[in-house]
Amino acid sequence: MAENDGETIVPDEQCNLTASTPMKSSGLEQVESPKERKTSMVECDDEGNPSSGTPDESPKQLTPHSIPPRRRRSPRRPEVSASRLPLKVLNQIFQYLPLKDLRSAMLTCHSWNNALSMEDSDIWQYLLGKKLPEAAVSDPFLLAELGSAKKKLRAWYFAWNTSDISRNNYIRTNGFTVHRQPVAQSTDGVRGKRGISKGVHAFDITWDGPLGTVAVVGIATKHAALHCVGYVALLGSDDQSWGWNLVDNVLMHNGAQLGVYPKMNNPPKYEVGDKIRLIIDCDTHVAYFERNSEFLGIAFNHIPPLRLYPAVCAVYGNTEVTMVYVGSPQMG
Amino acid sequence: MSAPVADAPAAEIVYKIISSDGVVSKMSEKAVQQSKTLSNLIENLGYTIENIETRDPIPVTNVNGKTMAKVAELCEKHKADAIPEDNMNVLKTLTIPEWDQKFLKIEDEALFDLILASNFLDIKGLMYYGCKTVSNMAKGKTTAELREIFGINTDEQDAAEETAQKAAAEVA
Repeated sequence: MAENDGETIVPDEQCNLTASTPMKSSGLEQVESPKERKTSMVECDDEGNPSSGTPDESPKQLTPHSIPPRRRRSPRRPEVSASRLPLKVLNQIFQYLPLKDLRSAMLTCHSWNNALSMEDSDIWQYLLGKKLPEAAVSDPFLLAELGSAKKKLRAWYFAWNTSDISRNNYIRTNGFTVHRQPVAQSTDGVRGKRGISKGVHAFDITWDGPLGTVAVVGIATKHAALHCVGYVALLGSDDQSWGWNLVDNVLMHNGAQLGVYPKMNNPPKYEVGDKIRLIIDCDTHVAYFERNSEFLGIAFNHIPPLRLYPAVCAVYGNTEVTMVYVGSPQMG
Repeated sequence: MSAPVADAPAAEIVYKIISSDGVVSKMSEKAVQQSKTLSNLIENLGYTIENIETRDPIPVTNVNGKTMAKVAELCEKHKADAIPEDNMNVLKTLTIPEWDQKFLKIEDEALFDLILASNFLDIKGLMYYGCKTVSNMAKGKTTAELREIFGINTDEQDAAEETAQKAAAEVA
């Protein structure tokens, strides 16, 4: 059943669309014959007759079991026309629609949802080419783990936020990598474009340059500061953020050190270029990390039910950090 | 001295097409070329100017007569036009010519029949303009509005209708 969440605000609606990964269906009709549909309608009219209390009444005037839509002028079951168009036709119609309208279309009926669930169809390929920077599309490694055009498009909507960033950072032209400029005595952070408040979400974060004395990955609310003077583990320094400093492997929240992470003797140092996966489970209020696909244990629990953004803060001049949203992680 | 009689110009072939309901429509040779399916059918079945008069109309069993008449009208209108390019970036900025806008201002069901016919007959212009027209109907609408515009039931409505039909069948 297509579910309408009328209470969600627009960002939630956008988030729902880009976060969801409906199952693919291979049972779609390629071509529907108009003749067959006509026959179907005739049969429907025949069935409509017995339900009439006055047999001499025209079947075309009968609407005993449903409130007809305002614009319905043709005989019963005109929904056959729109909801059962062949896939090729649906794709042709949908390719003219912007993303927000595609979300509405996905929720309208099953066959439209099936058509739009094909994540590498021309619809998503076109939007991918239109929305993502050329530097991202042409990079063979950046989005390599995302298996479809739709997932890559979704990652774009979660990438680093060019408007929510310390002034000493800038986002490279690929849109997914933040670059810290060489400014002395400054700690500089960045947040993702879109926060999350429901479900389970995974972000792949890679430190592409040296760590320096402070290199923190973590999560932040909208209100966490992204800049301060000095070289400080800013992420985790107050109650608005949680951070893992890769330099000394210490977890931080509300200014307090929560201990070494991973929780073992002499945890290994982060190697530049290793992929860290940040997983935020809003439903059980925990966050944890994987490194090169290895689970490292729960990092933070009892996280309050707030909208949370992936974030990093850095102090080393010309260091870079890449973040790619991957959606719901594969559960072992 | 009588003036010499000029030769008559070469006659254009006019094809007869018989639809699923037995209605016969006519399309000129140039108009038929807008439809790849019809062009291939005519070539494969060996229709020529010599035998056209003695042969049966071309059978198109997937399209009804009313829709085929509209198809023929549009193909005659565009018979001198090049077939539109199948390029996503060109299609994205497609504008529907004024004549076609008026032509496609019809009942939804007739519009969908036309689109299905253009899909089967492979008439690119009609497919693009028809789908663009439907897309314009859908633009900016919520899910509830889309259901209303296109007459699509929710799952609950479908289930209720099915229940009512079963009840009616039992009574009958």
